[in-house]
Amino acid sequence: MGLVGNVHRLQVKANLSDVAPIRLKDAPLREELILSHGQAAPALKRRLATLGLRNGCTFQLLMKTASGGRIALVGESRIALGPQMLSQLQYRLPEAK
Amino acid sequence: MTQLTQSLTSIPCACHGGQGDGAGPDSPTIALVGAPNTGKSTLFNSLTGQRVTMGNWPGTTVEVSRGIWCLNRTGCDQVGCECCVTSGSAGESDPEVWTTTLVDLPGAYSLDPQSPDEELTRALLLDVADEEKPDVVVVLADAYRLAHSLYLVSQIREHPLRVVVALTMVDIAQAREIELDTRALSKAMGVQVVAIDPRRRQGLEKLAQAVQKELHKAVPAPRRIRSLSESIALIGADGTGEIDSFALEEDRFAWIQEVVSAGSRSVNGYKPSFSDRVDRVVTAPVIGPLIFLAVMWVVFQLTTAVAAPLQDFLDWFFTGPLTDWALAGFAAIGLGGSVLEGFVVNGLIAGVGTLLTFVPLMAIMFVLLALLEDSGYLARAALVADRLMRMLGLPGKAFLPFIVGFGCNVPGIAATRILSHASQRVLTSLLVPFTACTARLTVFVMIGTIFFGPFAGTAVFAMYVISIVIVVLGGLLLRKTLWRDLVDEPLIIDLPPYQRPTLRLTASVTWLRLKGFLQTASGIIVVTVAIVWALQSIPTQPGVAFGETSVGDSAYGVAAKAITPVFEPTGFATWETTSTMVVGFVAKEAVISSWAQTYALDEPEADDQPGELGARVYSDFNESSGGHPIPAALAFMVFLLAYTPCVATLAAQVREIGWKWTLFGVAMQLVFAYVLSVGVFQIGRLLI
Repeated sequence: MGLVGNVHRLQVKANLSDVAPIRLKDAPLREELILSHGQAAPALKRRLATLGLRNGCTFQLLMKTASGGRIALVGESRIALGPQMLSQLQYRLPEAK
Repeated sequence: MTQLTQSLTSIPCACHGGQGDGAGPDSPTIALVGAPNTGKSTLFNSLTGQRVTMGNWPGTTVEVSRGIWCLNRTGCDQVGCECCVTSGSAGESDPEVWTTTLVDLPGAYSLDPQSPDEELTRALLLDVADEEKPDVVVVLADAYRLAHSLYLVSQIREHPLRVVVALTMVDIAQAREIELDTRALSKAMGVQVVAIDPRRRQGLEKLAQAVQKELHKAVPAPRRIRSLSESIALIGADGTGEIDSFALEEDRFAWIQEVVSAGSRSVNGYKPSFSDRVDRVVTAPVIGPLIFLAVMWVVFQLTTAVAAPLQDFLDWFFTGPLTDWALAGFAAIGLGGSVLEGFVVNGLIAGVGTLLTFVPLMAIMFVLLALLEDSGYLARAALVADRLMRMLGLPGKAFLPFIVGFGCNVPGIAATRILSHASQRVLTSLLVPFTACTARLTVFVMIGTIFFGPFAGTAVFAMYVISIVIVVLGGLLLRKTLWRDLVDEPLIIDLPPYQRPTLRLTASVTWLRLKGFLQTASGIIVVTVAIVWALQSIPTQPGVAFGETSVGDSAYGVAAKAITPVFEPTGFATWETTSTMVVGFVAKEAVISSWAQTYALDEPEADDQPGELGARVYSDFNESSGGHPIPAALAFMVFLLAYTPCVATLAAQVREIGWKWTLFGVAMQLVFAYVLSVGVFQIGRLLI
């Protein structure tokens, strides 16, 4: 399963490699998005991953918050992301089925 | 990495209020581990009958607590758990009567530490000798977001540790129509899985049985993961040419996915939850901050307006009836006017009275904190206030201690417990005493009335503005000097679902925190009050008995006169004024009564009607400032605002950040106060 998971994820990356990533702060609300950790620091990437926001994961931005942040929905978790975090992260739209 | 100075078996016991040994060195040690908000501390409380910090805020469990857990008597609701005392330990004749030591480790999302709390958890689990490691690790996992919780499980399973997974928040999973199969989860993870509800004390017996069963087993082999080189090779073989720095972790995530797929199923897709609907309002860009300010206003009002009459009653009781009874008692046994009477009345009763007048204030503050934490709102408050507090390098939730500090610095310091990083707690604790508490307000009103007449209100308001400016400048200064490496971390908050606070949880958290304050503060406050009384009683003139000297001729008065020249540049260098500042160290509101005592005048009946005392104070300021009483009064108000906080605040600081930082804070505030007051007077006298 680990092998399959890795290969699948990398295939997803390869398929989307020609699509320019967009900063998460510009992402639409309540739409399925694919996360890219972009240039975030390794420690932050790890923190995001342990909260479920893995590189390549599917998630939504539920709402805008005061202070310019967003609340992200990943699985059943709600993660508040501040504006600095949003500007470091990127997203892609999933391919149309 | 944290310097590990204590192992699981040497951590002070949280139970029975002392440095106990838990269930004893030969008893099995069970560690509770889990991400913040999984109900870990609540479970600890339920299993041990002890009271530890609990709440619905990430990072609440910032201390390691230890208690006794009787595996065969789990569910017993006796506080103090006397049943444990008579039970044996593992290996004794009755194998079913097992007394274990339960350790509540700080909340951790993973074993890759991102905070001091996580460092400590990792250190106590992995970086200790084998014999110091826990016999069983109970990992708590949120049932409604399994994938989120299983990363920690996957890491712990990579080490030779006996593990039991306890699923919490099963009710939320059910409400969100998430189906769980504990048997399938157990098979997929290779560990026992038990569903529990610590808030309602359900499933605890099953957990105890699982732990007991685990203790009979040999330590399992670690879960095998591919080595980093294998993972890199694997990804490289895909032909993308990209080497993912998270390759090692991919194996964990794949394992998590397997487990989640095997044991849980979400019946429906995303549906807005109750928490989502509330969050749309309370975190919204405009209404969110307004609600936040309204909540802070309620907190401020309750901690001041509601507590005030209770404080006044206690103050009246200690200085009135109790003091009268004590004096009558000493007179009845022929010790009236003795040193012993002075010590008991002016030292012990006054000191204990000072301490206890803070109890209503602290209790209300702790209840409100517990409600905010347990309900889940505090996480949202942190989000809303984040941008404002970020200027000082602090997270949004640091706003609360400052707001509370304007009511009273003591609960403000205590409120720093909501901050999960030690550096944030220290920085906030050092800045809170700069907030103008209500005790200072009484002095500001009197000084304002004496010197500024119809503009007294403006002068008092200016003190609040200056207070905020000092907090901001002080924070920036400390950040630029001592905390230069304080990382400005982008905001990431794991938002817990809203929950209805429970009375039991709120009461136990409040009692724990109140008890902690009283234990730490009582000695410091009583001793300080007694020392000040003793100094005021020690005569410096020959032939005068102890306790019969005037304030000016006492050791206290002589010391005040000795330091008075230092205050020449501030414009208020009279010994009568400098001595009040020493009394102000005991309690800021005592400055006025101290002046009255020093001038041998009656204390004014109202702060805004200073009467004869006001005339004497004005006269002294006029003389000491060389005819510039207004700048001198302003300088005095600024000094009073910024200098050493009262002894109760210091006691709270000692409890939260230790002696070293407390003493640093005292020195820093004295320097700040002196420099600012000199500046105010020297500039002011050129203008006024």
